[in-house]
Amino acid sequence: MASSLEILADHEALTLSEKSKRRDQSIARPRVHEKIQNYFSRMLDGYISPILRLKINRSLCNFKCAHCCEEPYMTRSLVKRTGEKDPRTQMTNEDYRELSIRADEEGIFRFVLTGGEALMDRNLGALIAALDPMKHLIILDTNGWSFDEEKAKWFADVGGYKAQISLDSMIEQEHDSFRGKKGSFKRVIRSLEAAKNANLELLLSTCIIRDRVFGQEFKDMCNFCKQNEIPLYVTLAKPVGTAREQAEWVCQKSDVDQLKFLETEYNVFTHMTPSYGQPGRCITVKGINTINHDGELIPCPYMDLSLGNVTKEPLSEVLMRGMKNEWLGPYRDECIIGEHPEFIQFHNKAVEDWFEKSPLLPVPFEHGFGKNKTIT
Amino acid sequence: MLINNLGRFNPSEGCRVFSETPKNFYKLNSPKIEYISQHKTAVDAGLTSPGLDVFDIKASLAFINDCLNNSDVYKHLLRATAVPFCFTVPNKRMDLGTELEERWLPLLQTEFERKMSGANFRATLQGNTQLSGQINPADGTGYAEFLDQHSCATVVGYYFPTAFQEFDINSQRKRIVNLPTLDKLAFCLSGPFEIIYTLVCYPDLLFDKQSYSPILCASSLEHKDPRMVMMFKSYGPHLEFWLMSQMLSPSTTQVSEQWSGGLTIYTTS
Repeated sequence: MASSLEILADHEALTLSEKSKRRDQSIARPRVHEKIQNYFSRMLDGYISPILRLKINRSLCNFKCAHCCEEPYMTRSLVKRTGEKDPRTQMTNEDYRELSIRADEEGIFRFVLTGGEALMDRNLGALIAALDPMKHLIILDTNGWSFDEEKAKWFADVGGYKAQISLDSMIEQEHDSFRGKKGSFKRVIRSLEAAKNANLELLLSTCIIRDRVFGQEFKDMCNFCKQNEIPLYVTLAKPVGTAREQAEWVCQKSDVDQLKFLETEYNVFTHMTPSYGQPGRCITVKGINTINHDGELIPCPYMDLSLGNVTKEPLSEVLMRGMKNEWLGPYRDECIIGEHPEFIQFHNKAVEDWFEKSPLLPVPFEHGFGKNKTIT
Repeated sequence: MLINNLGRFNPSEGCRVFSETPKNFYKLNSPKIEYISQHKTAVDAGLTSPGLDVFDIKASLAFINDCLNNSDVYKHLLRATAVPFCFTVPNKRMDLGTELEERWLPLLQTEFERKMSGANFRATLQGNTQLSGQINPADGTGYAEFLDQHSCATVVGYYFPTAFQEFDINSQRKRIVNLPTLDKLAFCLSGPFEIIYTLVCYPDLLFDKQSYSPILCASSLEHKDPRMVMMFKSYGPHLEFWLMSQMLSPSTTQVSEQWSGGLTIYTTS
């Protein structure tokens, strides 16, 4: 007969470490704590509080990875294709300061700094100050190449909250080859220690291609993370960027299901893992948005279509436009850019068509998402 | 035409649905229905009385099947997954939320985890919400009659999990109201008891290896907080129950390709 079932209310659904982190924020960053609490009380009304992922410094990068979705945005790629760098106005620290204020008003509390390699930005300290690390959790994406003890301590001192360090294989040669940089594996391992020593929150980020989750190497990575108490964040290779021609890399449902299975045993998760009282689902707009160097807001790190420009119109309006888009707002479980053929076709066709007009991504709203149905 | 080629209801005027042309991205792991073994499972789980004659039940199911097949209006329903059921309905004097919390959801957890090795069942209530004392049949859905007529008694029928796929929650409740009648059969919007019965008997219904599955809404019951809806979904190989907000934004409710209200058809004699 029936056993006793523990029914989880949202707060109880948090892990002990999540609860502990939340308590810490009430002291370290009271405004962040207040916004998290507010989000939980307003979430049932349909309010959202997505991560804003900022692509900075024209996505400058010291690596050339095989699976990079950012390559088309990089100056090196644009110069190669067009002979010049991106001519559009780039966001300034003032723009970022304004964005921070607007995001705060919206109850948003997380910024991810990414590139390319965000640490290559000489302006990074001033940018973090402009974003106001007392009001927002500042999270750094890094390939670990220059994230040593000194840099990790510096990041913590300027208000950084978490480092997300990329590792693509537990086999040293494989990682170095994938990343196109000999010695990068060793530097990742070094950077993990550095982040811990600087008392930063930490996660290891890895990109999976089809079938990798079934292999011993991935199991070794899970075990490494378990032994070292490092959460393992998994991204799925998408048919975009340099991987557009690599259809055989694209994950299938069986890969995703295996990951969900492994979540029980390991602290491994994806962007679609249930969190913050929400079920596992596609998190376009409501969970994460990328803001390009020129202010265009893209509802997913792996898409190339814009919802509008946050330097030209209110952040709240751009986000609401996204929530009303038939693909982006309504509930769906799957990762649409990784797993939904109809969406992938629509997305890549919009990009192809746009490339006939301009080499500059993302595709403006009216040429991409603007063609979709609006939910009323 | 009342029902489309996928075995789902077409929307009536005023209904809000996700797409004008119904989509088929989300698929159930269509079970091979084998009533004799299903019945044994239900009896073993305590959902069905062991004293019932399985041949009588099969005769009732065949009667429903014939009625639908012979109906020009309803015959297309059988193009979609249809799960026969026979179970003892909860006592109408019991609080429905408490029944779910204390008996039906724990039972589903036990049965699901026993049959699906390595997978787990999880129940989550969003916000500071509860089930006990908060759940009642939604007006017009027919579920109050379903529960009243069979309180503590056996009911035989079919559950059509995808009958109202892509309908928003209000439209599921609206669409059921004016369906044409069929002699000796009753209709209602589906609720958690048929869904749990089905998932006990076919625990992999929502786990297809190639396709994501619809999310099964128990929309015949409403929570005192009108934002909240009960639903059952898969998460990879795992199974989840959610009391979830249906708000897409502060001013708009969800309308999802994946959310699916069910139709329950049962015998009245």
